[in-house]
Amino acid sequence: MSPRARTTGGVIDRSRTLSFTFDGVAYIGHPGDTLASALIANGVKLVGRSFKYHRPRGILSAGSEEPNALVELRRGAAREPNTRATVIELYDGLDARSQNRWPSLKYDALAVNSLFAPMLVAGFYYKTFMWPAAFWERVYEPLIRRAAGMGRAAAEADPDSYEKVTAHCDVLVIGGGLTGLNAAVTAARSGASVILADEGFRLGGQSVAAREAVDDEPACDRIARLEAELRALANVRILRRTTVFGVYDSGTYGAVERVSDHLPAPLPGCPRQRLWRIVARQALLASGATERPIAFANNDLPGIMLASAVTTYIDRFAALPGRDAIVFTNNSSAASTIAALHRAGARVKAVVDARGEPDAGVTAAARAAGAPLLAGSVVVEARGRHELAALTVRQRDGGLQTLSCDLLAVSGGWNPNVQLTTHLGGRPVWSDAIAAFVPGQLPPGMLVAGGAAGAYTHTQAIADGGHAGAQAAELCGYRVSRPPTSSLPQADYHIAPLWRVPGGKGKAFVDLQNDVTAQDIEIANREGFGAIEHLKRYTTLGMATDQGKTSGVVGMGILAEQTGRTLAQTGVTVMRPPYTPVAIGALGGHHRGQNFKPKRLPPSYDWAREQGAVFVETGLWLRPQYFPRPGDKDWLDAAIREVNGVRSAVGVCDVSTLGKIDIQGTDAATFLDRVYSNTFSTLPIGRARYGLMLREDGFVLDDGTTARLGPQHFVMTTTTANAARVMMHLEHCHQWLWPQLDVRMVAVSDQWAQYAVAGPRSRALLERIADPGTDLSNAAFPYMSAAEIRICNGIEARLFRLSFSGELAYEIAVPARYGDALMRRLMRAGEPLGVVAYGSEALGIMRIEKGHAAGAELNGTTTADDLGLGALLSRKKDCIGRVLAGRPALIAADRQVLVGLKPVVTSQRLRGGAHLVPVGAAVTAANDEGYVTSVAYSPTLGHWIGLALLRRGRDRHGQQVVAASPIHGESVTVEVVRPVFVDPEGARLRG
Amino acid sequence: MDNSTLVARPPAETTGLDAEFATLLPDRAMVQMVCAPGQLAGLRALVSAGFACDLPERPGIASGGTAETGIGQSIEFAWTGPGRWLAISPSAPDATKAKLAAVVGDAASLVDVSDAYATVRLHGPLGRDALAKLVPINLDATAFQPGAVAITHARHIGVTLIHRGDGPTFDVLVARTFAAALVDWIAHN
Repeated sequence: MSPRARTTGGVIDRSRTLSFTFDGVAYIGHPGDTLASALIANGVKLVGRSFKYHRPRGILSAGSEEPNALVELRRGAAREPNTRATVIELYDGLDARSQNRWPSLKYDALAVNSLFAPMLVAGFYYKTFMWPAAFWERVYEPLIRRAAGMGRAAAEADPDSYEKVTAHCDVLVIGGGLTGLNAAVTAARSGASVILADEGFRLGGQSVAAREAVDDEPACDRIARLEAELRALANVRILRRTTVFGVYDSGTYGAVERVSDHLPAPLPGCPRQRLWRIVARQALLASGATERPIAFANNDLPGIMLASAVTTYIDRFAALPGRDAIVFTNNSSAASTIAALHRAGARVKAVVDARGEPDAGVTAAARAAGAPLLAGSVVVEARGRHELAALTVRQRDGGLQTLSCDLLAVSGGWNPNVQLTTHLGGRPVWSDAIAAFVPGQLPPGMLVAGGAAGAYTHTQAIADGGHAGAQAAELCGYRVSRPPTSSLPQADYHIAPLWRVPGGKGKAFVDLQNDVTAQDIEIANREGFGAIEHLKRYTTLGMATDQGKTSGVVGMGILAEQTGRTLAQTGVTVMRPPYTPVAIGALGGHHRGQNFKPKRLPPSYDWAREQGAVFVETGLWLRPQYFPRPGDKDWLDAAIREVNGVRSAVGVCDVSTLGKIDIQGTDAATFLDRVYSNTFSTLPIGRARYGLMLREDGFVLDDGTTARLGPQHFVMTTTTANAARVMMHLEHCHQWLWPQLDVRMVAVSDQWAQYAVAGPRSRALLERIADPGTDLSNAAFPYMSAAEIRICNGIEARLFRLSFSGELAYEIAVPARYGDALMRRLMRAGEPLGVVAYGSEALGIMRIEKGHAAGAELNGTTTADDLGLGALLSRKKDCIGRVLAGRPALIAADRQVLVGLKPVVTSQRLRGGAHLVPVGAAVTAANDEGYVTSVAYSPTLGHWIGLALLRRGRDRHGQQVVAASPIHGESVTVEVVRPVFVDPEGARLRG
Repeated sequence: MDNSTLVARPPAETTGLDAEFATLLPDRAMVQMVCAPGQLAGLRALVSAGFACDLPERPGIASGGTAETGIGQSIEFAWTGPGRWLAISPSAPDATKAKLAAVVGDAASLVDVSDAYATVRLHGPLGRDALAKLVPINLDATAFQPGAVAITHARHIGVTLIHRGDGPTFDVLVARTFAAALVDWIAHN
């Protein structure tokens, strides 16, 4: 059975039926319906409660400007509040609920707010909830938020996926109505690549089903013809369900495509929404115009709709919003609504025209519909409980007349959709001719045509679209054949501005979404908030999801009346992106969860995963943190086992994350002398040296080792964290400071899989994989040696005798494709030697035991001397940072310098970040003498140890201080020691 | 004791790439060639004589090599910066580098970067659409022609993009340790 308000005709597919529910009641609709049109077809008028007063609300519009009919869609994690019923494409099983009501839409407990309405006027919250101040956060705000809710966001993570894509084109046409379609076809015929983006699911804009003739052809037929031509062109991309929401620099436009919102769930492999970054040489704004209402008492009752929406529901959706209709207008565009109502079989009980002399079109339409035309008359007040029941009309002679009705179609004129013209700073300008703001200064590369430019009629729209499409193509360098003249057809639009009708009993709403009334605007102006931006903030006029598309100019009109200024003087508030709401998920795209940042996997990653390694994020890297084994109680247990394995036998650790830079050129050694604080030109071939790099300002930038492989060939390593930064620094030094030097650098971090092989049996392990003839004896390959060797039957490798752990140790590098195999080989060959794999925890413990500075100490505030590396600041040569490292503050005697700490009571734990105060002193900032940078439990010593930066620390070895960590509630007395806890003579690493 | 040679493996977590429009290419020889100061003309002449190839002066790729070059069928030079080219060859890395060294002598330094990159090849309209979700540049042939090279970024990952021609076919060179992240992006978009 067909729903009761479903009429004939329309652009819906009656061959298929869709079931949906609203507030738990089952209804049916058809493909081609929106939720709003299907509700209207089912006779549903009450769809929500208002934001502040909880007044009953219905459907006002048929487009994305809808302020009223906001519903909650879907359930569970996919629940989405504040979706506009007027743009939701109906799908089978759609499940929507009304908002802002309790216990039910019809009997809303908070509707009593209306009784307090005299208090809840503009500025009420600001004036009332002032005292006591402490109440604001805990009492007032939560209460207000609950009462004034705008739907409920889902608490769970968004279950849907989103994606981002970039598109480039010659001409971007924004809006697929008559103007946009004709513009796109005209531009595309010239050969220009065209993207047409339209927010609807069917091209044609407000003319999808329009029957008015354009050049003797119904507008809807013309649309079909233009769309067919566009689809046949290879250089055109049509994006339906796509809203261009923002204009950005250099011809960049943001758009969101609702790929799956019209489906019960996204299809496999499809995102819910797609964010388009469109780069266009020319954009053509053909976004049309939005009808505005007129404010009068109780103008928010369900059953009061914009006139053009009534036309759209009848002609496009075959849904009749009421049977006893009255039309209230101040302009000529209502004629089509009168005709549509009459065609659909509704009774047009009166046409109330505020103009003293209605135009011929409205007069003829009223006559044809058999409706009395009340010229010079206005609607003063609407009446009804949950929906419209009657209107009071004041006629030209001042007499009041009450007319019963269930539908009022109201038109207060049209606002060009100028929003996108303002995103780069343009301000709209007032046009008296059409009583509306039209685009002012346009963003570079943008043209505007049709309704968006104030050309409202079908004939004007199509002509203007063709002209602008040709112009856009020509600006892109294409030739277009067109008539030399391009003057627009004569405008056939008449309007007498009317913003509100005073005198009725009841609230006259301007902004239905924010419950802002005409009275609120008067109050705001009286209280000194008469500037348009102030008015907006004081009253909330034009805020929230609709951004005042229907209300803004009405409010400005009322303000202008109040202040005695013109609308041109009153101006408009700044409009910013987005044009309509955009899901945060769409802006994030695939950048969420694991993909928030790209992950970087070291060469032994697959192997480490097989081993059950626990990984830790280090910058972008995923590094093994430790390798749990049966019997390990926790991470510390595992790390201790790994440290012990290294110190007693041999361990292997993937250190491929270190930055590696190949440096060649006849001036390579000179270059290194200048960027490192110590000297490298004296480094013999086949040897490596520890190097310290300063920033220009004299602080430490990074450290690492650099090996010399040939007379003009070095390979540098950097810390993992600073790899990219050091490369940029070196490129800067070369390209800007010393371009005359012959230095050629290539980043080779990814080329080499590099493993630390450390421990007393490391030499034995390497001897098992090195090709015959490789001499690794201490004499042939002493500490800090470097060589290119062959391993595993001919694989080229680089071997460095370096030690971060303090043990006899090497780093071996092979081309990355062999990294996985080498790790497996080392572990297998090392099995008889007791080899362990160790992760970043064990690595960290051993470097703290050895007092090596790392990220926590290379923190941008430490000097070479602070770290005990003052000797590396060569006095025989200049280097980057040398001069500024000599500033008084950087060489002051009371600087905080690197020390070691150990607890006096050795069972006590140390905490990173703890601050150091003298023994017996209060834990205050005034007594602060430094802080703990790194801590570790030392398996070698059997207690916790720490590194710290302590004022005059080098003079205080042997003294005691307190390491206080208020966030842990702990204060530990510690002894200051030299920051090398294990093998201070370095005998092991030279062994 | 196991003294067999090591087996080469593709980068970690790149096996998920089974899309029809995207494949992970096997490792090839890649050698970063950096021109010595003042040697540009000399280097061009040497490469022209040795490989029958004009080094591209703009972001693009040129191929050369004949049977006589001794490094297989072909070698290509992709512009990767002023005075910098990436030589790409299906031959072995060390053989390629040796041959290049013999041709260019002191006119350029050579660094083997065969293992520094992974190459994902995207082909056909689907491949182009997938690439449009990754890189911000205009992939239309009018803007990015066959034979052109672009140094750009794919969703925060630095890439070198080569337009191989018909299909269209694009090679995306990505740092090897980022290969998994790139493959993941392609597989999930």
